[in-house]
Amino acid sequence: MGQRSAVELTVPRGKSSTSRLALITDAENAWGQAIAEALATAGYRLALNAPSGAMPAAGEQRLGFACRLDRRAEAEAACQTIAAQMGPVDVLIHTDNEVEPVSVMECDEATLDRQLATNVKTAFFATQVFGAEMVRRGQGRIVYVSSIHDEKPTGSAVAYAMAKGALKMLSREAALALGPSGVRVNLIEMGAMVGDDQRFRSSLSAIYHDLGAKVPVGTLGMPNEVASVIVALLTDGGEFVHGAEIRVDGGFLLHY
Amino acid sequence: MESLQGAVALVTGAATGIGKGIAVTLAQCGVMVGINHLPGQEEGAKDTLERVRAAGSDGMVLEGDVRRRDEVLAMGETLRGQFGHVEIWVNNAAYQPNHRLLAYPADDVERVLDTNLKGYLWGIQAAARIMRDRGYGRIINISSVHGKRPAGFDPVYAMSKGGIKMLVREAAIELGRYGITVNTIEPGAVHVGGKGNPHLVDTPPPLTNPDDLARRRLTFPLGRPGLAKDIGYLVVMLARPESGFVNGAAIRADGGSMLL
Repeated sequence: MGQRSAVELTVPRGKSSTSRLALITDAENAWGQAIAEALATAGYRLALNAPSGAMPAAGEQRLGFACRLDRRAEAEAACQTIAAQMGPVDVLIHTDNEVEPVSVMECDEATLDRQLATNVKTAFFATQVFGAEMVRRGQGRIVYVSSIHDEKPTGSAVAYAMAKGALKMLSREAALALGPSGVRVNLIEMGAMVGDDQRFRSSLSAIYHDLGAKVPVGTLGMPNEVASVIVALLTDGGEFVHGAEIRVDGGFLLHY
Repeated sequence: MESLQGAVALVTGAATGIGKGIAVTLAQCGVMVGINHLPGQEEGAKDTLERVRAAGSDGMVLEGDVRRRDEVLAMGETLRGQFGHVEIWVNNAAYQPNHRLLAYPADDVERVLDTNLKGYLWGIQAAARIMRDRGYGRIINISSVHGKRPAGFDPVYAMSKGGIKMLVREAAIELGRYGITVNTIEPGAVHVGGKGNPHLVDTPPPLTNPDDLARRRLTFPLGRPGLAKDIGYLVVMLARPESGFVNGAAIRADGGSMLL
């Protein structure tokens, strides 16, 4: 690691946002779609992954592909495909997020495997493969779209919470490991989103009872609100925000 | 204070290191101990059993791989079959290969998550199945300061500890109704005499010159790293009947190191 001068630190590095390439690891769910649209509006080119296998619509500024990023070999192949067609990835946004309700006592191995694969192993192997490329180039941004349930228990989805707890530590570790090479790593903890009271319906916890009344901003969150925070986070000059967890929940967790 | 005399505990990964120290400390308080170990660790497990008996208690050796749910459930039932009841379960067995993030081999990603995360879930399930019959139990999970603070030497180990944090919090609210508490201990650096050492280490590494202590205090405010028995004492505290209102907690045991 070479020493950086203060001048270098204050000058935005890399290409302008008009030509940056952002990879969205799950462009099929509501958050991935909203983030894709917000980044396209901000001038980013997009590489969009469809974990289901259905190929997303491509275009001049966007490449669609379908791979399982929880498998390292597929992640490596995707990295080569994207590099050949679009060039190197400047921004990695991990959006894979699936909630399978299951209790501690009933959680079987298959459920835990699926939840870990979807919610955290995709992030780990994407970080390894695309992070290595960012380190080689000496620049890059990684954002993990996670959940307030990396701290607050759900009372309904233990495997999901375990995966998000692990994802939070991946973000912190990646910040330590990749920060000196010019890569910035942060994590969004979203909560009180529209539909969360159904997604996390619990017989053990009253956290989602009367959800609407508990959110200090007075409304539930929408995916486009997560997307706009990410666009702001990626703006030039934000390089000192690193290894941070940014809660985007309308203040919901203040009650807990 | 009520006595722990006659209680029965299962400690995973008790052939070596922190697990051995926990088993021996529990035995000193009259607890009978099931000593889990992996195949190949017979010498260390036998040594633990001898120390448990030397402390005036009794126990049994339980070979089994915590990654396998069926083996973990069977170990619990074997221990209950031997002593009639199990009210303390200590999830401790862990794997930490120390790879860097970008060079982490995929098979070790699986092994760390399987041992440290799945192993703890299977342990909680096995323990709770037994304990809920009597409406009482103490499940204690040995995690790490690296469930919060990134380690820099093993990212997947830290990820597994972040997962344990959430597993414990979820289990604490789910199992409370059965009179079972679920808590975490987060040790900092513990001096165990090297990975896989089958013997108990009861004293800190010696200081060889006067400057050593000052240097050591830059890492350890108390002038020494942790010992397995330090963690053992905390397990005993959480295992006591009087600790029944401590639930879903994570207690750091690092001598204040993380504050430096």
